[in-house]
Amino acid sequence: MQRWLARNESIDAVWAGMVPGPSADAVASRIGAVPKTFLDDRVRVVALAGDVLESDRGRGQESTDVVAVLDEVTATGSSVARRGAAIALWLWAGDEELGALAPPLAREHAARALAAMAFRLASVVDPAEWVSDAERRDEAARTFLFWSGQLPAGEDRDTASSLLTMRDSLQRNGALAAAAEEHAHRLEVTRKLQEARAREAAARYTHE
Amino acid sequence: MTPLFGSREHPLDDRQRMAWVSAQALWGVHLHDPELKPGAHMPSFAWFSFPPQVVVDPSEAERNGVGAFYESIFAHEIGHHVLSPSTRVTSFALAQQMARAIAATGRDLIPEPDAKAQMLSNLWSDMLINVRVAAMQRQRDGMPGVDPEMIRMWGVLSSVPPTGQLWWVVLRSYEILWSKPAGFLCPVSPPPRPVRRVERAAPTTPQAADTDAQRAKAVAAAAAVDARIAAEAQWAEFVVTNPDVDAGLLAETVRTFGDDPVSGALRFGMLLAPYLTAAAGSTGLSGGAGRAIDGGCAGQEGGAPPSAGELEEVLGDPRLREVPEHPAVIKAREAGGIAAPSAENGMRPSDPRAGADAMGQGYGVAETLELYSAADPNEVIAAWYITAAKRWVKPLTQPASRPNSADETIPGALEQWSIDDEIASLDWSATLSTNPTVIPGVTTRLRAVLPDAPPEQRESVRLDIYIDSSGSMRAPRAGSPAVLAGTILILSVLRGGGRVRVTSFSGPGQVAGGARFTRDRAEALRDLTFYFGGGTTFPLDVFGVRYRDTRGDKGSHGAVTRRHVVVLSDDGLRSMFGTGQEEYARTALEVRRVLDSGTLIVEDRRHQMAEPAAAAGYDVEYIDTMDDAPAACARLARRLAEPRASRRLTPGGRRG
Repeated sequence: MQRWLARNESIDAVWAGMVPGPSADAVASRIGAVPKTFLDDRVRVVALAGDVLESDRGRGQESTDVVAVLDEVTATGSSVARRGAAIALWLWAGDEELGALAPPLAREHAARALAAMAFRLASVVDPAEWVSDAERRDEAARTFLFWSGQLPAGEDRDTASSLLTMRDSLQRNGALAAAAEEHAHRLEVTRKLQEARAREAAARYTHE
Repeated sequence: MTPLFGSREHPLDDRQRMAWVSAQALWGVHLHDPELKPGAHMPSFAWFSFPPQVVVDPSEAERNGVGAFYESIFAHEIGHHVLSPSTRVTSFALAQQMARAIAATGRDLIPEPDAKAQMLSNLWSDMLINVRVAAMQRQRDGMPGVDPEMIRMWGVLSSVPPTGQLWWVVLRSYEILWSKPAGFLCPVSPPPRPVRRVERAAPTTPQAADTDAQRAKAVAAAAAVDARIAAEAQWAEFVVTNPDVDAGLLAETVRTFGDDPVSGALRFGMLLAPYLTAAAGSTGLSGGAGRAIDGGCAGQEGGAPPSAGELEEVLGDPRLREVPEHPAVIKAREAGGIAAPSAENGMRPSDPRAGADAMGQGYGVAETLELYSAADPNEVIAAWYITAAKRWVKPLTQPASRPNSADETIPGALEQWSIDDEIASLDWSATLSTNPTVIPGVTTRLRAVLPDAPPEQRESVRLDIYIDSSGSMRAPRAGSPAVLAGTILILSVLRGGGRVRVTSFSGPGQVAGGARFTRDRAEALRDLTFYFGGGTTFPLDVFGVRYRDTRGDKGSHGAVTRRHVVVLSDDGLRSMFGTGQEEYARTALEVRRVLDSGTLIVEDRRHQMAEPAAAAGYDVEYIDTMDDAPAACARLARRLAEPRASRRLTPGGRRG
């Protein structure tokens, strides 16, 4: 997560540069179809990117940024970050194997999308859940589309923003932790009440 | 064709008929026609009842603007018969789970807790059904960009913003479940929680006292009362509600427990019960003046109270033993942030004396009685104790008192008698029926003799139980350790094939119960839970008479039946040893001489009964709480099942 925060990405800038993208359902379906080879920790993501994003090689800076992000992923030694990046790479790779989505997935912000998936989302939700859990799959699809700078088809900005926020595990985990603390405090208050009742009963008994 | 049960006065029109057919097809069921009741003056436009019946008020549906959504209305009500609650027993179990959640949250903090339990139960079923129906409609219609009819109907039903946080949480979770943006069914932000002024209680005045020591104790007692009042005030005020977080958790609960309403009901209750407290304000369920509550369904109409069998089935459901916990706490624990629940920190009903959580039921007998106020209280009490006792019940038997007899035989098959066999073994009737002309060694027959199977090594127990129902004992409806212990013993003896006799006693002349030993569980439990509430005088006269002449105590095969007595009481049991009835001072001692075992199970914190009991030869087990009862019964059962060698004397005579 620290690596993601260090990038200091601007959400407003992303919204300002939004272009139409495929539907969140279509992207989620593609996540569900990720081949096992992409999730294999022995496969190097930099090499994978070389195959998947081969056509983008001419795009100087973006290609360099992608390699930098993937080198960082490799450097972390984290399996979840590696699998998060691999699933993002699969979404582009799927165009060749399953056909392009309409509109096609953008590659202009590939480095940013890869970083979001590998460092932001994967740090709070294991990529295995992106595949197995429908709600987390939807979250992964929306996260990918957003940081790729694409608005899900059939949604306006307000809808897309609302649904992304609704699915956001990072925000949700924070709120849940705070709620759990409050409930723990409530239990403490309950325990104190039970003690007070017991003390009162003991005092009454002694008094009698 | 006129439907057999459908409304003849108000038949379905073509549009309703089509909607009814497609709603049934959606669930894959076939029911008799729904009943149309215009102007029924119910809280909403549709409801259901058992035996399965769907009822709709068409005029009310039109008034609520949902006259175009009949398929969803019918599908919702059918869902109550197919998915949740689907049966009466599940319906009671759901209400019980909600009542447990309310008790864990703070029953005292929630106005009309039993009515609220019913309301939550219906709301939970509604959510499961609506989400399922919308999913089935989406799957059937499969039109991208077009919402299923159920979701469109909710767009209409939620046109008036909720006034309370509870209903906002429900609507927000529908948005999450249906992937609709915030603001689709309810405002983006929840309504504010009402601010309530809390009056500070005046300090308690200590009771008047004569001596300094008494005065100091009175002051300490008053301080303890004030501390308890302060703790209660803090407890009542600090109710945790996080509408945004809870909506997400609610959606997750609906998704996870879509096929198991009873398991999910407890989490649902724990999520929403805090919104029902006075501190959290109104529920906001009414949505607006004159509109249908609860999203269109008025729930179950009427219905008979639960029968004894249904009560036992509901209270015995293992899903009703799960510790009530808020889903936020469960998730935090799953993430490793919080320790597992224990007896110390688990949420408990407000009164631990009610014997609720300690027995794992999570709901005391008093609260259960209130929840099922329409049912027969005796049946509710019996069902509660039976289910509380059930997991401690094991067949109770004892070593057979009749000695093994090796020479017992049974007749076997016919065989040929030869001249080498003894003449006495010749079976003349078999021989003559074979042939009237007797030819030795040819037509002669003998009956083979086989050794009998070994006689039973163990036999059932006959247990004589005396239970003190004086005012100093906790009443059965308040959660009585003695009654629980008695129930465990009765069920164990009956399961072992034995018989029991239960006598309830209190003051002089206050004796109830059957005179004979019985295998009728209902009769035994009725006697066990009979409560006088008077003084304490052990019925030594009855006790003495019953054991004066024991010659008639014959079991099967002429064996003498072993005699076991258990007395459930408290420190008032001194009367058993003659206190207050000196003319019977030696009765307990004399009776003990003809008993195989005599055990006192007493609620006696100071263990005052140890000495007189030992002098008269009775064993003593102490129980102070419900938790102690199973262990005391287990020790008694062990003594009966495996008597020490020194106690293996002939039946009769001081055998204990």
